[in-house]
Amino acid sequence: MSNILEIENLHFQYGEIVALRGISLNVGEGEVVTLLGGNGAGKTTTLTAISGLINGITQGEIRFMGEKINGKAPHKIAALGIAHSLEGRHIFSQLTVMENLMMGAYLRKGDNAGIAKDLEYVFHLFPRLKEREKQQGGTLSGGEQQMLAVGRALMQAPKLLMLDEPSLGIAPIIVEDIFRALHQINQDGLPLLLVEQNCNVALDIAHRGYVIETGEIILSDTAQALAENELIQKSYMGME
Amino acid sequence: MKTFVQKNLKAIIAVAVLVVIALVLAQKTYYALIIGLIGIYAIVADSLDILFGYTGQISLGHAGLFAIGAYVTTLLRMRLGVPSLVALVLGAIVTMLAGFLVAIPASKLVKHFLSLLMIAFGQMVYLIVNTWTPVTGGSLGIGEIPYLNVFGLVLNSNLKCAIFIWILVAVCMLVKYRIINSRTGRAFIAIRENPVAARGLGIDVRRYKIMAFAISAFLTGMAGGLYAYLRGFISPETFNGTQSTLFMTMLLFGGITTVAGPVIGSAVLLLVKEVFQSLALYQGLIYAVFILIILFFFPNGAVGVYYNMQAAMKKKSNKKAEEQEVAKNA
Repeated sequence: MSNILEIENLHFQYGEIVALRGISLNVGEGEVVTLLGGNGAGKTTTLTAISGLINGITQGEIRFMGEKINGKAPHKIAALGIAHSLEGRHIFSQLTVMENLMMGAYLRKGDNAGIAKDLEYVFHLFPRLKEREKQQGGTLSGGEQQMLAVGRALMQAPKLLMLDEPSLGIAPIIVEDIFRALHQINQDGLPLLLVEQNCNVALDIAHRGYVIETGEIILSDTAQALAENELIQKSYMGME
Repeated sequence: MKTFVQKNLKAIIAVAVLVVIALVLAQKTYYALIIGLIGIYAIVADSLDILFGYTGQISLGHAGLFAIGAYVTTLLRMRLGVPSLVALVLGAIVTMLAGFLVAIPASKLVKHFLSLLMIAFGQMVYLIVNTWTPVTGGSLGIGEIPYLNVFGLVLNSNLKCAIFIWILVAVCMLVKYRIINSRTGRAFIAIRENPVAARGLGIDVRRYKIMAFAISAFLTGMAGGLYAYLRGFISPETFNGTQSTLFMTMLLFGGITTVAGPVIGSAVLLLVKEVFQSLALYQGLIYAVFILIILFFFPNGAVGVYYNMQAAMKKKSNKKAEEQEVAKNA
């Protein structure tokens, strides 16, 4: 299986503060890869480094479909086909659900047929968004906003979807809905890089996983092996 | 086309009535001047709307851009003998370039830092026109600016000039409408709503911020040039910090992100200014009161009040219909 995303020995600093100390990971075609870890471990930093939203890479390389992307402007990275659904959702709260989704398709000039098809796909995954099509983004519940954030990212027609804690602050039953949709999205061929603190749901849909702690990857294995790993069970799943 | 007329019948009638009233009033030179000025300020408020209302970048230094437009147009016309309409366009283009220059650092700033930068910019321009006497005439200003000549038609009265200005107001509104409903407009709105998400969606935030600045500066510069031709006289006092505040108040009072807002705001604030001319010393205070009223009672401006009233009336009529329905069924 060829890799769509490859990260090699990535170092990242926020000013003086070192956040990543030589991370290497890859995501293969059609794969769901999860990045697990506690608060401040460097999960979000890894994603923002990939999408170029924050500039602080001091060493290492990020390659997307074989092309080096670190140092590129975020809008150029997005144009290459990486969609980044941000932590805390960051939807456009004054705009309607429909306008939010159409904003996702911003870069797809003239591809009206493709946009209409993807819109239908998003509404098929999240029927609730269809119901609330004309509602302002800010009036949605947390779970619906997360669905909107995922839907908007899909409207970019990405080749890789990165999700930052899609389960954060959302009722368990809605988390299930969202992860069922994520699984479906992957079944339909899109590779996912999923950052989560909620290991149970993440390992459920992932093929492989990495565990990150204080900016270093301390463990990497298949999802099943990680789920059975004692350290993981103790530290992240709350099992004794 | 028929549906457009039908849909906007009320608005069209209102505009027609206003045009007739304006034309009758404008028979008096002074009223024609006021009507012309309202048009000029409406253009500035519209340009601010693109920058602030849609892109979320505040500017309290637009008087500086207004001054650049007015002075460059006047100087090109009077010192270099450039044809008046060409001078007007060149004045707007030079202002746009100035807007570019400010926007490059400004695009990195947000909120209060941006407003500080723009206040400083306005002050800078004010000081330059005030002290660079050999070129700008200093505090005495420049008088006897020749009439605007539009393809051989000399606009030698306030009325003619005002009509020309209002044609440009209509053009500006149309341009604004077209921009806002384009990809560029969507990028502007995304930046206003959430710059981080906008970047993540592939929008070059910096580029569009600079673009909004440049468009806004162009329109404001053109308005400055029109001001010079209408008044026939410019002096630094017209372009001080209070003027910047006035522009912003006009936009806020009329209502941001609306079509009619800038025109309404410009008309009301200018009339207030003229009526209270004798209280010139307290102008700042009057604007402050206006801003406070907007902030506390109608954050969406005058147009917002109209929409609220419309919504309330609709609700009431719906309720009435419902009650009748219930009564019938009972």
